[in-house]
Amino acid sequence: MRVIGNIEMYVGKIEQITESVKRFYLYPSDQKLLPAFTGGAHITTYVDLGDNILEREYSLVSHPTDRTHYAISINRDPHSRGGSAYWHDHIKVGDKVISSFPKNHFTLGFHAKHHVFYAAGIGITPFLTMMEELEAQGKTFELHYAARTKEACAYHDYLHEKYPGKCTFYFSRSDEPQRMTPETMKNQRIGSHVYFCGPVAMVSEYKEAALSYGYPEKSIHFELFAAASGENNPFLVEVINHNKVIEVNPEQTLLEALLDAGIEAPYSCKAGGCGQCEVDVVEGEVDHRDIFFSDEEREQKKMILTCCSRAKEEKLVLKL
Amino acid sequence: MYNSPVLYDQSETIKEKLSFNDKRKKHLIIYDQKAAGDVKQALTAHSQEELNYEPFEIEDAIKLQDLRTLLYSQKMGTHLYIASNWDHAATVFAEATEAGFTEDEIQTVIYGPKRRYIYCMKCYHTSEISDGDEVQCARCDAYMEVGPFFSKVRKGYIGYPFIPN
Repeated sequence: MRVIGNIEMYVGKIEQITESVKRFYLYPSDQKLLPAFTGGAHITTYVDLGDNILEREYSLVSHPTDRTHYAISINRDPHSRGGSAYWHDHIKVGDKVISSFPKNHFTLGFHAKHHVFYAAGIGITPFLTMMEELEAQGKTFELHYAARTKEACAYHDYLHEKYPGKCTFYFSRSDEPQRMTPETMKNQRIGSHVYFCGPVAMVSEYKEAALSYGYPEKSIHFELFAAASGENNPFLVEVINHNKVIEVNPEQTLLEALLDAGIEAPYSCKAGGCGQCEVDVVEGEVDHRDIFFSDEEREQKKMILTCCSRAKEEKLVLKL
Repeated sequence: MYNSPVLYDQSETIKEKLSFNDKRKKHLIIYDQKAAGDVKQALTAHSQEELNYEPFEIEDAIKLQDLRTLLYSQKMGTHLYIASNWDHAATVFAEATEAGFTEDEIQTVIYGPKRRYIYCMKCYHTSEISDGDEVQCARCDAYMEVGPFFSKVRKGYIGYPFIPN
């Protein structure tokens, strides 16, 4: 049996799914069975670059009950900060990769009577395993999936064949362009849960729309690719129980500054969506850039998500 | 379902009087004759244009098939208000959660006494109890402290047996 921690893996196979999406098959070096996972789970991957470690999180796309290997699908982002470009351009079959145990911050609502998925681009990845799980349980779901073209739509043929009548595709640059809109949430039956995965703007738009249609917050689930951007002001952060004052410069997040200073701050998605990096704020105004907290929570609680939010003014005092 | 919400005397859905949730787009009001006066009064304060509502009156006994047809035809954005005696409310609540309503989408106003149940940890029997912190099991006569935990699975407060002085 495995003890929780990291798993040494090697790349067993690489498939080109679309022009910009590759699927990487990761096998355990010790050939022992891998931990099973649930729909929507992801892993953190660590690639040794020599002078530093490339740490990235990717949704699992292999079958949740297949414990012989994991698979991840990566879109080569033209604005890559190094992660997707490195995986696409340098990772080859046989390379060693370290993987975390599977984690899941994007789980299926188990009370739901019907599940409605909205994916933009590579945001399809967590839904592949969620749909596998629901199909196995005989539960109802539907997928709305937007991509630029059919050719750029990862797993289009697979989804079309495997889930007939359950998938609606929207191609913005086809001969007859179609736009995916939140309107399809309006007439869902009672007991429906909605799930969004895509860029921050898309997730924010759909979350706001769902709330405006009267969905309770607990019936809305989402996962983000990256944190919202904004002007990055420098500020100081005092961590009272570590007796440290740390400078956060415009090029780094508060989380990065804390980790660089040797403080074991918690984190996971690094996109302001999972809430794992929540820290108590003792003093100072927070510029909230996440979409995890509701407006009410922001007013009632004093806390910050260190992966994306910053200080409104010169200084924050934290306790962690 | 195994862990479906259950209506009990401390349910977060229970309110003193009907108050419409302005986050929802439609308001489905299921009421019995005891609540009819209050419901009609609450509705007269709003026109159908400003408040999208659908009233449904329970006459004498609940017709389950009609109730299910009504509940299963609802869309997301609907808030359910149950205004009735305990037995009618418990039936509507159970059917509503089965149809997909969550506790966040239900408001309950009880007319008359609420019922309480206890799950005996000695004989594993659930029975109705009166008010009070200490009761006797209806089946095995064990003395029990009531709760504080309520089991959705057993549909009653956990009863902790003790030996009386």
